[in-house]
Amino acid sequence: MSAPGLTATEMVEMFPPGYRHVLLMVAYAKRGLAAASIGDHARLDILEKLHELTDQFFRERVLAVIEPMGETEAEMMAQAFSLDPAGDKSRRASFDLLTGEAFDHFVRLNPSLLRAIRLCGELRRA
Amino acid sequence: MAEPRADLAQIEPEGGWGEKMKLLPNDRWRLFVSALFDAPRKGGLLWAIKTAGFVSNDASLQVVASRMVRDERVADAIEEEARRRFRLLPVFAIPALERLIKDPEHKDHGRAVSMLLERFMPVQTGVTVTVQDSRGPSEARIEQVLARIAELAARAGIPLPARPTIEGEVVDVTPPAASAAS
Repeated sequence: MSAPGLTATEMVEMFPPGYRHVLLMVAYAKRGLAAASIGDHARLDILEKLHELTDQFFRERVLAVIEPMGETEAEMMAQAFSLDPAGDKSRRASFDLLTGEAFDHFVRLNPSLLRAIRLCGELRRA
Repeated sequence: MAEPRADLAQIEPEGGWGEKMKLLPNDRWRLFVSALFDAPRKGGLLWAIKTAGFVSNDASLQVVASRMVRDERVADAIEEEARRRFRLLPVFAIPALERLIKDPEHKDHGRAVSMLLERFMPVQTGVTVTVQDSRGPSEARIEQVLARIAELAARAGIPLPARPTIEGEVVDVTPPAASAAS
């Protein structure tokens, strides 16, 4: 977890893989919410699922600071998902890639992810 | 106790005794083994040894019979005789089953009918086997996707992280003979 005095790189490196995945999924879901084609029912469903993601570490304030993914990140997500074998609900392969080597790219493309990581640390210490 | 059967002397199978029965010391031993299968539940050993033609007082016969059934040769012969008799069982079992099936008043009539139906009309069960390949993607495929992600990031103006540099001196390890030849 982040602590005072850590660099951005160190904070990202120390952020748990499970929560890295949550950050990406939130940004991905927010992109979906912004799409004009989505129906009210689906929108409500996504919003409810987003709020279910919150816990003692990943608070609602953190959820709020994450901005939707852009076109490039969405394409990167699609590339990662293509690694998952058909029918594999665990999505282990894409999880490993997204939360591992590819995560830095997402943080650079979407600075709100770094803000969320920093905020997680601050709220934890508060 | 039941009286020994008189016709046991004629129990030798049509094709002769089996190999294990032949290894027993004499016909009285063979009759003893055979009689064990017909012996009453209570006092069976004594009945069998008397049936086989051994003669003495009951206490002595009981001791002899106990020793005989512990003899390895007798044990082997019992196993052989059991297999032979088991093959003959359907001859007796099927008529008995027929009688049960034809008698609705018999307490085991229902069980017999049920057993017969299960034997000849078994309940069919289906098993669906789903084979799932849980292997992850290959290293090459992961590299390919990573390269594509890096390319997308670069196109969006995000600089790629520098490749790690390996510090050190280059040492030529070519063998002297190979160097001279070149």
